[in-house]
Amino acid sequence: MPLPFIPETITVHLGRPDDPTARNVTVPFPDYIKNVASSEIYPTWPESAIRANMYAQISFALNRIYTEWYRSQGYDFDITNSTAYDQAYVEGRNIFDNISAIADEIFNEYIVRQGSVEPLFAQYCDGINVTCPGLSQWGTVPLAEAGQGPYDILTAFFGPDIDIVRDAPVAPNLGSYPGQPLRLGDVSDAVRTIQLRLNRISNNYPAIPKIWPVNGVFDESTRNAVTKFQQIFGLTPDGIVGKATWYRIAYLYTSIAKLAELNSEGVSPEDVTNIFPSALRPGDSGEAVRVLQYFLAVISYFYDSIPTIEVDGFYGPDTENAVRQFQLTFGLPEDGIIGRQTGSKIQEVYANIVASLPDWAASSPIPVFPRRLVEGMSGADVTQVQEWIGELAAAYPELGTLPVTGYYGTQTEAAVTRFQELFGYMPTGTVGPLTWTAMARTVLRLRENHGEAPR
Amino acid sequence: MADLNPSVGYLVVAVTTQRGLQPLEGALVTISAQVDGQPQLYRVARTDSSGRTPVFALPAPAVSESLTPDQPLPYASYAVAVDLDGYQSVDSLNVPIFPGVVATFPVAMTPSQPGSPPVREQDFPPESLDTNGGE
Repeated sequence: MPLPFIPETITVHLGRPDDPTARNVTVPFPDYIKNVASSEIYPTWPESAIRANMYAQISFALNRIYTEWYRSQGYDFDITNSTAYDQAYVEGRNIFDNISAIADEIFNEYIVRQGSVEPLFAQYCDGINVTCPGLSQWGTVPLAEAGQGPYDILTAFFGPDIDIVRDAPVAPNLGSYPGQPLRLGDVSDAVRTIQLRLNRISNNYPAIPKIWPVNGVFDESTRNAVTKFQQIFGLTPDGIVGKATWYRIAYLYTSIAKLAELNSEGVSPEDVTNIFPSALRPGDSGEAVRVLQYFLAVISYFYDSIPTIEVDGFYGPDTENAVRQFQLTFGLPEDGIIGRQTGSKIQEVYANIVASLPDWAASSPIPVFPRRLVEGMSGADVTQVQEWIGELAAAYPELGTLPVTGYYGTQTEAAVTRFQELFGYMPTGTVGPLTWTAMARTVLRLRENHGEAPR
Repeated sequence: MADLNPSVGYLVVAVTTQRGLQPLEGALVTISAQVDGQPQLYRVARTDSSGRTPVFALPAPAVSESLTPDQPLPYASYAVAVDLDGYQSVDSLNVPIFPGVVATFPVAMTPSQPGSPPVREQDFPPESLDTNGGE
């Protein structure tokens, strides 16, 4: 088996494993741990007791995932919230801020037996009403009060031959914490990542000020945005990006960026250049899948035979079914795989839809993405982009002024790049579906706000 | 926060859309509790542009009540009502508050639909320690 890594999300069955009426919920892994710890123990306990318990909870969950305990039995979830089988999870409950901050720091750390890579099956019981071979929850409190640290407490229950794995790799799209806190004066790509992500998050949370310029320099405007983010999300507001702040930003950013709805985030413009580079098939994930899903979702608006799908970046059963229906509809061999033939047919159908719309600019409040716009092009769609930028520049002077010419020159390219940086998208200087819909949406929001930037 | 006063617990309510990613400003949040069998109103506030209330300070039991297993009342329970025009109201019972600890209570709102009930109620289970892998 490969080395364990920390999944982006975990799917929890809200009932006993064999209860088919119970729902599943899929939540970010740190959010799951925060909920379990808030439900299983008391937040007033000494910190090392809380940490010892949370290591056991994290290890238990990762063991269920790593061994595919439920999935190998044919279930469509990773773990249940039945305490007879697994650990407590109370949907929608309140979360204690001290537990939340610890989870943001240690969600990628877990217990192993020395010489083993498997996350420990860290059984635990309350130690009063129920006893078991593993950790006693109440038993951790006097040990912590006697001054023992989390590791010592764990060895008291699981034996001396355990290790704690630190900083296990996380799902790649989150971006790994650089290992050192980022602070005022730092210059690096990691700073730039934080700047772009905070600018994107501030579209939803306008109390977070925009960072400008986005240049990888941790300056005063970066520190202000970081501090505000920390205040909003209950982290220590020190203006420094440590591990907890890094991962809180990473998880919120990826959730927001993958908001699964038509005309929404999910396609990174630079990934559209070479659409469907090679074969895509069930089980694939990532940006190329999102591009595929975006085009299929638009097409499904116009072809009843093709089901609408979520733009979630995962080539699962829904996407496979939509691809098969697309292939049936257009007389292609039905294999549920995107090869050269199906890929080019999708692009052709999409282009025909755009061309057939009587007036694409008026097709909806947020017009369907017409085509990828790059330097050297002209047309009504370029004019539209230039008009949007002009309207936005009244509220966001960082965008600068731009003549409306209908020609995509270097000035347009520069303005588009500034927009992408200011709103947290990959700054490519070209307009793909993501930038297109983001511009349209921001203009709409601005009009609703009577021309004031929502800050 | 070093100056957290024991026997006072803290609550922030964070109101968002259903996916939890878009904060909702201007929601009316009402905190109450049963005192001697009678409902008592504690706090009322509206959410800010980040969808959050101010930090409410609320009565809670002493810390010692939650440090040993034999105590009857380790925490205080509050009721939280959230109302916002255009959304189904959410009434939550048994929101636990511990002394000296800030709790963030996320409330996800659903747009009201014709024919849907005006209020969604959620009642949280008591905070009791649990067990895993018992079978």
